[in-house]
Amino acid sequence: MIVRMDTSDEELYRRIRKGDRQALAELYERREPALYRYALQMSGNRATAEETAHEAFLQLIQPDARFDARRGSVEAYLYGAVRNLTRAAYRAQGVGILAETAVDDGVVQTLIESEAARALNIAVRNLPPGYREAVVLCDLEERSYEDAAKLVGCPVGTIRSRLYRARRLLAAKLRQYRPTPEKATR
Amino acid sequence: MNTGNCGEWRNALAECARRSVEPSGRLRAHLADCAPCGERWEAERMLSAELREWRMAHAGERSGDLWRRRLMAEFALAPRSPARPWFRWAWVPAAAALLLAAAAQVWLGMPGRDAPARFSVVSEGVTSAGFAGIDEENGFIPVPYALPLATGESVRIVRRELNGAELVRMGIEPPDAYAGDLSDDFEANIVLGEDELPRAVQLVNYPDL
Repeated sequence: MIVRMDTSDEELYRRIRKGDRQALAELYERREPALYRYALQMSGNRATAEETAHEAFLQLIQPDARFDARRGSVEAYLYGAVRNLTRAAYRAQGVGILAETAVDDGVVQTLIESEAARALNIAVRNLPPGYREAVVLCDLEERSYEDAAKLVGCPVGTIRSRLYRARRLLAAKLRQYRPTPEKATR
Repeated sequence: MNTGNCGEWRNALAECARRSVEPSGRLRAHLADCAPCGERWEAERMLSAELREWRMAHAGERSGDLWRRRLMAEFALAPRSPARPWFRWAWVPAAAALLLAAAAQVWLGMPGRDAPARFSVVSEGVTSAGFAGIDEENGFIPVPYALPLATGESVRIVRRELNGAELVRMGIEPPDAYAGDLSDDFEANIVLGEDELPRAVQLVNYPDL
């Protein structure tokens, strides 16, 4: 499906409220992939990511949805819903249960994944949630600081400082996984 | 050459690495002078390269099509128009209006009101046969404010006992010749319309002067 961007999310939402299936399909195509990837990185679990992304859309289309265009964008609403649902899933499963594991990609994916990618995956997983969120939005999804700040609901400076600190932590962590010159020549 | 302190360049290093651009002249000079910052620059560049690789590898990821179909199915089942707040309270004025209407009905139907009261027939000694119409010359006194009889409307004449007070409540003044007390009973012929409401009264055997 080709995703047109000439209609704003908010216009699509208004049409969805009137029962327009096409508008929902368009919004879903436009926002679901990134929302899912965000959920995946924040939860570390594919099943949880799929469920939370689905649930976020479900909350949006409910007759009593709490979305208010004066308070933020549809996209920010969806990300906020995923954030809350992921937190709730963590609480239900036990805090940190996935912190030391890579994203559950399945056996085949794990086998073909490079060691470096796996190391990065684990390093991202181990970041504090706020830092992880900044890396996911700014470096993995290539959002601007302003966009990321809107989605997270914090000042731009907070996103920027979280990202710099997160990158320092990631760089330090990944150094452990990289082959040193001595290891490489051995 | 003074190339500034490391803290001054910390964020610039990360930004250059993220955007894949070469450092500016002053930063480059600092990197050449400062081994820790040089190492940091290399680490930032490698991190950016790995993040880029990761991004490309996962770019097409999304939920399975089953989830999209589930959402569309649930959307089809969801109620469309939410109950707006003013709808939720619409029953209040409606109930108040009904209550007022009921109260008005009761009040208007009370004895003593101008509206003609319904009569319970105690006897039917007179029929409408030969009724020539409501005319005071025939002795029929019209009930004030009663709806006029429609053309061709059939009437029923009943006889019952009345007293002066009941006459007054119907809005009919007792005739000048009436000499009884308001509580004294007498007989009267009452003309009822098809709706069973009185239209006129003919006094019979009332105490006269």
